[in-house]
Amino acid sequence: MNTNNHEIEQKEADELIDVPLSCWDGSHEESMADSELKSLLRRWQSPHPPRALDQRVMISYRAQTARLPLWRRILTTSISVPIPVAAAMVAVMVLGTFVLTRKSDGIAQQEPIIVERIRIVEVPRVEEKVVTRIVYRNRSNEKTDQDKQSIAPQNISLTIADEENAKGYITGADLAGFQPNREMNLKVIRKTDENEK
Amino acid sequence: MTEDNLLKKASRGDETAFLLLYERHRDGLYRFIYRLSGSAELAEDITHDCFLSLIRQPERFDPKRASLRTYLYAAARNLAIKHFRHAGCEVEIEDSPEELQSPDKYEPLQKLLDEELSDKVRQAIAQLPPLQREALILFEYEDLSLAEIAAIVGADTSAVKARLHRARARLRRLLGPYFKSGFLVASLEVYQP
Repeated sequence: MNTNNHEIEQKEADELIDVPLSCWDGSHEESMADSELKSLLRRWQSPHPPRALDQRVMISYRAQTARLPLWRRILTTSISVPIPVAAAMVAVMVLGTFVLTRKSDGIAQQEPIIVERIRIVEVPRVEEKVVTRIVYRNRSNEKTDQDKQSIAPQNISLTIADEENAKGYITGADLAGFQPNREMNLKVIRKTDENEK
Repeated sequence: MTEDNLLKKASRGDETAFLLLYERHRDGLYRFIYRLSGSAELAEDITHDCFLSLIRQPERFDPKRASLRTYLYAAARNLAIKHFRHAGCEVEIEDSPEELQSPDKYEPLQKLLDEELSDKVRQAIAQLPPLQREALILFEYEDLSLAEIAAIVGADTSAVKARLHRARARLRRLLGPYFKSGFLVASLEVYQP
């Protein structure tokens, strides 16, 4: 039956393409009949959608959107804000930005303050210890100017006074071949507790 | 806020946006399918499916091509056609006078007359071929323009005009007794408070 209807409809559609549209301009009778038909058609009222439909649609909608990942729901959720509140928030943000900008500029323009701080650092004091050593040298041979330069006495002996020998101290030194140092390298030993005698 | 923006929000889970769209278009869709099929149950199912498919695939709606209303009506129509094809035949018109909410302004006899007239109109429209029926319903009951109807049914405006013309001619023949016999006028004169 549906197929028949479709065939008829298709046939009618083909025929109706050439239907003159003058009838739409409306003769008086046509428009009267149309207005009567219109008022008659309005008699057929349809029911309102049941509330069960609303509940069913909302349940399905929530189930559908619940499948969205949480991060996406959080990022795409919107919050309605009244215009006065939004305007106040924007004004606060602009004012805050302005104030912060002024403060940072003020800090940059100030001259750096130099603060002197005295810090006491204890440095160990080094006291040089002077050690005098007496070196005795035999003058037995007279020296010429040339010999003065040669300072290698053949035989130098050093004797100690008898009284000293009597005490038992023997100090004898054979300075044969003794040659004093031409160069003196002094080594300063710093005062420490270890060197204290 | 445009409907396109509302739809985008609704598809992302904004329930408020969805409710706005739903309440705006629910009644029209339901009425259209109910009158097209004669079945309240089918109207409920198709209305539900239309909105869910809209949320599921919002990218299918192109605001540059048509309004959301036109898109929803077209979707509802396609679902109805699919249902009819699957069912194998058109759905029988259900007699459900208890669902009608005729205004209770008049006395019971007037109410009965109104219901009878409503039923006659319903039967007459149900006898129209499907293409004429849908064009008539969209034009007379949903107040859509010829261009919008043409976009919904996938035809041009001249074809829609022709279908409307034929539908009206047929209805005048079917409902003629209710014009000529003065049935309509008589009922108003006698029972008008």
